[in-house]
Amino acid sequence: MGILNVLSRNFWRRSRTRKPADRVPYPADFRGELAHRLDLCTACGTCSYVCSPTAITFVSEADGIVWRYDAGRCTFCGRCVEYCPTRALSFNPKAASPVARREQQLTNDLVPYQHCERCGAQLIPMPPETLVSLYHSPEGAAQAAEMHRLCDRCRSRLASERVKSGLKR
Amino acid sequence: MTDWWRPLLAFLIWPGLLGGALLGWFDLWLYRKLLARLQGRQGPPFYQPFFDFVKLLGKRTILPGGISPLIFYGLPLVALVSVVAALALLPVPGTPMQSFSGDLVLLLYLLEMPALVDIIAGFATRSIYGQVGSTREAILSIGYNLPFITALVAVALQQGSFSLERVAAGPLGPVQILAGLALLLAIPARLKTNPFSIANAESEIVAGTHIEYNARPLALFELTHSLEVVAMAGLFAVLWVGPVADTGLRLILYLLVSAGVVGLTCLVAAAMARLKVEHAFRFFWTWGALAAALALAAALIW
Repeated sequence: MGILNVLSRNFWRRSRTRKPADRVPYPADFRGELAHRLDLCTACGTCSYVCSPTAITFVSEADGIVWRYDAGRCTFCGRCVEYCPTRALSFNPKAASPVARREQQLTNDLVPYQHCERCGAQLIPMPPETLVSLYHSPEGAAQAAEMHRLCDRCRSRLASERVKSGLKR
Repeated sequence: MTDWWRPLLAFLIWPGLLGGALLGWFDLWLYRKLLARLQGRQGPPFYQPFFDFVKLLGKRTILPGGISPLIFYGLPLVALVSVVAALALLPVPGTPMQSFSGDLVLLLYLLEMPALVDIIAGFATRSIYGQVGSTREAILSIGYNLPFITALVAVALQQGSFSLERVAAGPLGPVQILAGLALLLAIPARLKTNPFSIANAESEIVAGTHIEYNARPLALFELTHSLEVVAMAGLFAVLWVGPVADTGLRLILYLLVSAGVVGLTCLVAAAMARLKVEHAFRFFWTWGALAAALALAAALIW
């Protein structure tokens, strides 16, 4: 009567399957929903360049550049996260929820233009957090920040002024 | 026609449609939950059979090509009405129905209807799977009806009446025990559970007789099946709890014995695999015939 022993063992032990609410936890490095931090994005275009299925595109608008992401095309390969120079892109530890309509899979994030302190030209400056990690200290970042709030023409003018004032001594 | 409301109440409320449906959904849940636990799984929550029924009601019915709508929509209704009427006849504790002479014969006829309707439905849908399922169900019904009918006839013979109330009120003796054993042999086959689930053998013939049925007609067939479970378990239970005098105690015992029959059917279904139709037929005409003969012999002696 081996089957009765098997049934008895199954009945008196805990179930081998989980209840619907008792989910398996996500692994630590799970590539879930793509998260985009606007305060770190410089609209450099690297993520769009390396994106395998062209899920990320950039669109120019009057007041900024729009980072456009199509979660339906995304293959979650992780190249954009790997190559983003400012680490603005990352994966959430949980997967995205199912959506009812296609439009809910499209994201448009506007990276707004700021203005050069000297000439007012449009620019997207380097984020302060990135400066801190580049110069390895908040003090060094603060010194470099004044350069990075200028457009590239004003920056080269400022640099040549400093060279000239240094040569005059 | 005095007391016209009695059969109507029995048909619609207790032990008929409403009471039968609630008890049937409970029995179905008990069967599925126990089967799951015996297989090491969780099993559905207690409201699952009700949810399944409501889900089916909400779907759009698709009429298969080449079948008459009258047959397609009418067959589940016939099956449902038959099994509800059979339930209304059962001398369940608390039933408003008054038993009359010969109602056991009527009960047997009415309980035969769902199986017959399944057979016709399988042939009518013109699907090869349905036809195979119907053939198997027909052969199986010749098998399980032998111990089923003989057991009930034996008890009626011993009590000297075909009135269900007299049959149920008889004291527990060797006839009831042997007839109960014969009934237990037939019940898994009537409920299409293992080892006699040949008529709706999913892995072989998809859904068998119900293959082309969907949405509301299928919901009615599923409701008929759950009421059949109540009827079969109840038929066994009334034979055993009939002699108890107090109605409240009798009702509790009736529910317990019904649940016990469902649990025993579930245990057998979990432990056994599906028999082929020829093996099942041979089983019923050897062991089923032996049980039936013993019950009849006991009825003639005692």
